[in-house]
Amino acid sequence: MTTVETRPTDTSIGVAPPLAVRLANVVRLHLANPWTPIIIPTLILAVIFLANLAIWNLIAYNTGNEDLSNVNNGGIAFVAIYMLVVATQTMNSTFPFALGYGVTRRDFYLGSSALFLMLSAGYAAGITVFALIERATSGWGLNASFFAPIYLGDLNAAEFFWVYFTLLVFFFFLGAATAAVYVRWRTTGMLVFFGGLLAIIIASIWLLSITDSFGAVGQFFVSAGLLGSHSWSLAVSALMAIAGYALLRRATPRN
Amino acid sequence: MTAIVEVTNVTKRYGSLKAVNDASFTLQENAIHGLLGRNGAGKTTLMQLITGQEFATSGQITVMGHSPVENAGVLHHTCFIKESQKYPEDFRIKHVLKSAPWFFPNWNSDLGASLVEDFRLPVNRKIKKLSRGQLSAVGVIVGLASRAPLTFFDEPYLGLDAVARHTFYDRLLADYAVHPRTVVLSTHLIDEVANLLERVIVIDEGAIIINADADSLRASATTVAGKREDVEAFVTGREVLGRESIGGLVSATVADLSANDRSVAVKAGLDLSPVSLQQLIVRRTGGLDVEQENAA
Amino acid sequence: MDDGRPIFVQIAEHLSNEIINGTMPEESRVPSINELAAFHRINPATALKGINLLVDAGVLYKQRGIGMFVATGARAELLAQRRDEFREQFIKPLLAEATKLGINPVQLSDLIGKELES
Repeated sequence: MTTVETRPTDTSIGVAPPLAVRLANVVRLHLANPWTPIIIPTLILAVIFLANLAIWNLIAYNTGNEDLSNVNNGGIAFVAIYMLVVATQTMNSTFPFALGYGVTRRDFYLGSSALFLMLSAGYAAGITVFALIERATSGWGLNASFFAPIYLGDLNAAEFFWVYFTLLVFFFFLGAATAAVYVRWRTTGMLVFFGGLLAIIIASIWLLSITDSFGAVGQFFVSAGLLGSHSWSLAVSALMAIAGYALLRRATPRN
Repeated sequence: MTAIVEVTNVTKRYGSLKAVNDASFTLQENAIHGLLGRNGAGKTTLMQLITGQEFATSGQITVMGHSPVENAGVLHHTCFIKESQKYPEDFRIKHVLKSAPWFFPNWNSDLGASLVEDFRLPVNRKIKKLSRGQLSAVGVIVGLASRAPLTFFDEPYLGLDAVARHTFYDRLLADYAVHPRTVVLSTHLIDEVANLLERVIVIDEGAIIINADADSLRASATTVAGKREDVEAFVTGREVLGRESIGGLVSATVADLSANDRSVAVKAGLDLSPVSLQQLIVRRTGGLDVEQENAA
Repeated sequence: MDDGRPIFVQIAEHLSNEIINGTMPEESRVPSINELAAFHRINPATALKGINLLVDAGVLYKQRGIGMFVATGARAELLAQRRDEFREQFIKPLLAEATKLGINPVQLSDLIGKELES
């Protein structure tokens, strides 16, 4: 009964757990409800794949054609777009919540980035496994392609992984950076951002055409090759990641 | 008492609007503070500034000597669930309860579980599907069970019925008694929480107009009623916070009467009556003088 | 619990009343600060102030680690104090009002006698 009288001084203020623990907690926060980042996309991907498999078999059975190498529906692109949405939601609704939990913007951004890299690696690894199976089974016995589109050519496991990893990282940070613009400047920010983006694209096209350098750009991608281009995308992803942090660092949660 | 938070000449501008205007005050360690003021007075902005969620335009804020802005050492011991708090997409109540202990070192799961029962919350329901009252209850539970050394409650009663509000007040008092901590309760329902408070901070149009001990504040104003000339004679030269009149009778609220003043008033045939915290604050935050000159 | 006076004064008064009417006999344990705070829905610091008012007046005494107790002789002291206050709070205004209405002390005494009989 004397607790009020003694009024102990709380000396723990000023002391935080180590950075690694704080970042791990942010990652756990994102995974507290695993449905959104893991279970739902995996289920949807599985359903799309199984539906495709059924359709391929149906076509093959009805047409007697066992070579579906021309059929490629790009179902795998779904994962990339889905991750862009996950990143957007993370910035928009988990960010203000984390701040209420006493997380700093820096810890939140670093932790979220770590999660994005982990998810990219996880999904890339999973897709790679299926891509290898797909190639090994000659496109599920039908020359079909789902996990390993023909245009990727002949890749080994590490190369498959790298292509998907860089693709997902790109979409995660594209989502994060775009959402950070919204979190920082709301609707006005979005309008200015997309207006600016449009202006930059038009200006680039104009610049490329007056300097007659379309060929050079094409040449760049050709000479970089598929893997090289994907590696270069990491630089763009890194720039977007830095831009996202620069924006979020001074952002305030609003309603 | 020691100050845990020191706010010095803090101003927050949004364009031409000064949401917080040159505010200076301290929060006392392990005391329950009422942050009172009308809607839009700047209560939420002030709490966002102290918790580093908002950036001050000028001035200084320290928590135990450290700036709270982007300071994990401070924020790790701080809990601020806003009235309009956003939750992660697709979160259910159970996810809030599951994740809270990772961020609050003093989190008490038993307390959290018993509060969920007190407020009869459906833990498997999505946050988005909750009623206003249930949403408030989630915020209250996080605030209480976190046992954070610096806890903010932002209008925590919205949508809660009288029973649930009293549950909150009772549980706050009971847990605070055993685990004292610095609490800031922002509200405009002053009468309901008046007795829970040890310190009172009143903000009006961004400016701190009262920052006082609740008990001394309660004794700081008195209503003096009587015949117009008697009242006017008595209040001349005193700070009059409000005045009402009906016919020839006037009732005036005056600040800081000494025992001597009181006996003078009584001898002059005036009636003295105490002023509640709510009345006092209404008077100080722009409650209009009511002049009802009823023609006889 | 709110007639406008400081709450800690009301708490002290409430406890004094319980001592005077025998609800809390001398040498009995007084409710703890947290119990008082919870019961009256007030801040524990306020309850502490109320208790301290009585401790300073010698009505209550602390026993470290055990709690707060009613002092021996507290009731008699409180009664004496209340009797003094009775004079100030009731007799003086009564006489003032009686004078205003033209009731002299003898008539007043008669009125009291009649009131007691009825």
